[in-house]
Amino acid sequence: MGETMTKVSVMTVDDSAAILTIIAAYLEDSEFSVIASERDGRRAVQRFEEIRPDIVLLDLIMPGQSGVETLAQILAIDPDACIVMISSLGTEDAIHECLTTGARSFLQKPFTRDDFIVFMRGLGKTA
Amino acid sequence: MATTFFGQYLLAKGVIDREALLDALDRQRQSNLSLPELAVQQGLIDRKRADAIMVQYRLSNQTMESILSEIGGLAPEQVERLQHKQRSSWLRIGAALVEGGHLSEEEFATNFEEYRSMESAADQKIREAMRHLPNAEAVSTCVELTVFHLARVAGRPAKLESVGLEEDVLEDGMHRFSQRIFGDGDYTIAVDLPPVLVASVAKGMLGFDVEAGTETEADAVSEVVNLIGGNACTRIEQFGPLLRPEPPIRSAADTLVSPAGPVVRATVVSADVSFDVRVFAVADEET
Repeated sequence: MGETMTKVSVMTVDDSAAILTIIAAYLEDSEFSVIASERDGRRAVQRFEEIRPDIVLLDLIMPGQSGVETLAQILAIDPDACIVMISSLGTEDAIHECLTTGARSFLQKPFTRDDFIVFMRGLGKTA
Repeated sequence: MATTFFGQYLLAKGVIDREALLDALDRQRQSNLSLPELAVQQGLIDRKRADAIMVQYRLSNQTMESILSEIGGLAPEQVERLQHKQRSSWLRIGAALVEGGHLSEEEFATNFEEYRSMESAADQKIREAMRHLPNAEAVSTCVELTVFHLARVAGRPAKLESVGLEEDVLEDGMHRFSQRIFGDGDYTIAVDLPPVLVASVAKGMLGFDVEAGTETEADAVSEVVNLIGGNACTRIEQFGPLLRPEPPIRSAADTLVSPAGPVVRATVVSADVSFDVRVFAVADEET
């Protein structure tokens, strides 16, 4: 990565503080920078509107507003938003629902740091 | 006697005392090094990298060999040499007891034969019990995934001690973490952990020590249960039923998550500690 290269901004959304901590640790020293972390879908939609991150990593199963509802609301604000759904649930039904709603991709937990970084680079958002 | 570890079997039978078992376990700890630990000892990787490898191992389904190669940058021949070294220096509990003078070779041989025979019968009994549970395929998937993930994240061996149907009780001092998965069926996977395992699981999940009783600790364990629930749905879908998880919850002692009536209870023994990990899989047929 060149010295002047801007990092790709990431917003993480997960009701689990543990997962937010792990993802932030995985992205440390990479070309990605976590600029916001939210634990609630509604709050995540508001935050997206304010900061417009390059990538949103969004948990599928959350209390209150679900990941799919949050996904739809963010896409209503910006239809080109790059949103990746993350879940330990990897059923065909769940993946289909997320992708047809407009998620850019779907990542099933657990995943390794290296797999995660490769996956992130594959999203094509790297500057 | 139900299934257990050999050291605990000898202790329960009165062949050795507690001090002898602790001494043997201590000998094992000094002798039985993990592959990343051996790699540090041989100067192949530094401590920080070894820690990162262990965290990665606990949080993924990858083999240690592939993580050593991926994160540790070790060549297959180096991994093979480490494995050989590990195998040649590995001290089993019986050998550790003999080495410490707590057990003669003859006592070891006789007791181990009895233990193996008892274990084989106990394993058979558990497999049989699992087959006869209501919703056996789904329930045994939940139980097996729970044992697998908890043992891996906590970094401790664990095995099923018994499986059966009984009234649900959250025992004093245990912490319950649960997750409902529902759709073509309705199940709740509830895991009751003693504080020592709550701490091990939280540490394994996050990679650093977490203060006991904090939200961070509970949150880390809940995430492991979430991993179990989601993976259970994915696995169960392969033989038909479509299920989805709800967010995991941590239950207080007075707010049990189970319905009235008997639930499946699988008791799990973990490592050298006398604490149990209990796994409850609850099938609700009123979906």
